Amino acid sequence: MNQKEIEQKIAAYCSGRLSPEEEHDIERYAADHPMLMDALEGYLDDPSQIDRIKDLKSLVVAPKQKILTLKSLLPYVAATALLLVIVTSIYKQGQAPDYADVETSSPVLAESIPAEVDMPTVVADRTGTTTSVGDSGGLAMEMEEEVDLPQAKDVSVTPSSPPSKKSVSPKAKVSRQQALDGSADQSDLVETPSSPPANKSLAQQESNPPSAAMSTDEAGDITVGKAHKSTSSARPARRKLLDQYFASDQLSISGSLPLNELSATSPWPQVWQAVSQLAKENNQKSGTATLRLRVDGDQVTATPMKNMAALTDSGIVDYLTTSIGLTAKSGQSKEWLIKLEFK
Amino acid sequence: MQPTDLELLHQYQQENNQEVLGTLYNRYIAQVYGACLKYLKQKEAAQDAVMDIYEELVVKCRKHQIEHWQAWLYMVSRNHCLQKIRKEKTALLKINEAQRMYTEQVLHHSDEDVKQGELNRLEDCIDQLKMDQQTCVRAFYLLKQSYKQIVGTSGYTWSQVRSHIQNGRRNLANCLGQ
Repeated sequence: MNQKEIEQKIAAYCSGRLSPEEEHDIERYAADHPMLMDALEGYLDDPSQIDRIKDLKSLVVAPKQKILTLKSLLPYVAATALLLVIVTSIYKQGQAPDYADVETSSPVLAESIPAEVDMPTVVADRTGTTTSVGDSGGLAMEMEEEVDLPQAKDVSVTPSSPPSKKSVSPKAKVSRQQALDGSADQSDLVETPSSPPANKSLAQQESNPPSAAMSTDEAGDITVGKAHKSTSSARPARRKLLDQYFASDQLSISGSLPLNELSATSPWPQVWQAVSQLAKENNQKSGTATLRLRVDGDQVTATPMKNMAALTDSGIVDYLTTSIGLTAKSGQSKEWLIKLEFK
Repeated sequence: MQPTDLELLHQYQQENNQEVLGTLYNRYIAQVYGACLKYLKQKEAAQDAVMDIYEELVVKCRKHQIEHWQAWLYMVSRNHCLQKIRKEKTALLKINEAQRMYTEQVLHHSDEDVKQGELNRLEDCIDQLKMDQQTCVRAFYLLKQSYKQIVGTSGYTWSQVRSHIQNGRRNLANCLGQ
């Protein structure tokens, strides 16, 4: 009997789906395999725990993540650009025979712009904003946004400023850059056409209390939007995991936490303490960390599960800027195992 | 064809690739988690333990020469749980000392080793067992009843049935070994 069969037998045994003969067979087998016998006894007290095996497995071995890159997106970008040109040509012929009029009303389409530049405009059109992103890196980022946030209703795009423009100390620079990323993503979520430039937005963001960073849509859908550029490739995976674990009608996102606002008195001291503990116990530069969050009414408990690899300071910042506030509806209790990847 | 446990173990020892170890550990994670549930009684503690044990494996697997992976993993897992219970001084169950001393050697003393010529002696040894052990051993081995059936007919709990059979097996092995 291989381990997969044994796992199936455990589930069937504890849920009472086996015949007495089959039960006897597995018990005979277990008599010579004490770990299996212990497991049977353990699950018999709470057969529902069998359902957690899958979660635990996902925490041990990171699934292969498919990462969207600009290169992989090029065929789609090119196809979209071609389609745009065709549609635009048809539109011009049918609606605006006077070329000069078309050029005036739609300068972007009238010009022969490379596909990489066209794509952000397409994204922007979909989301109802007039801002576009010109560089290809921005394109990759925004494509991820579109893929990752299908539920976001008010997603818009804003250019983010390069860190080199900031005149701060090296240490502060890291923090500022992370804040910048956070600012950009908040703009992703709640930006309006009249928003100030990114630099000004950054300054405002840094001076804002945590509550100012909160961004929920009206329906309370999950709108996690923080990102760190050094971990952009891990972001879709992390967001997917967060969605997976947090997606629930019992929860809504109530805010995010800039690192410099975190303390034992912050709104989420449990998260802060838990991640700090993880950081103390580990000192690697990348890896996977696990955290258990339990929400019980207004009580939130975050327990580190001694990550298999480690968090770094930047990882923590990334996590915390990605972290979200949770609120459970009154009287409800729920807990999650969260896997965080840092690269 | 999937690699064997030992092949994965050796690959991990050579390459130090945690993904390989994770694949190996995941094969047994259901049993490890169940065992942790048994000893620690709390799902949160058991989940922590599953992760802690994996961390231990990351280090120990590189240090030790392991020939019997499953038995070794069980030993590591159980010891971890027992240490945790002792350390936190919140042991909700008293570990049966005899059960802790339960060795792989005894556990792997399979029934196939008992030859036909020894059946009479086996019967004598069964008669020497305590009554509850006799009842459970006879029902399980001779009548081929499941634990649940024995629970239904004897009135013992599932854990008691298990314990009586285990202790009975050990006593039988000792008796037959004399």
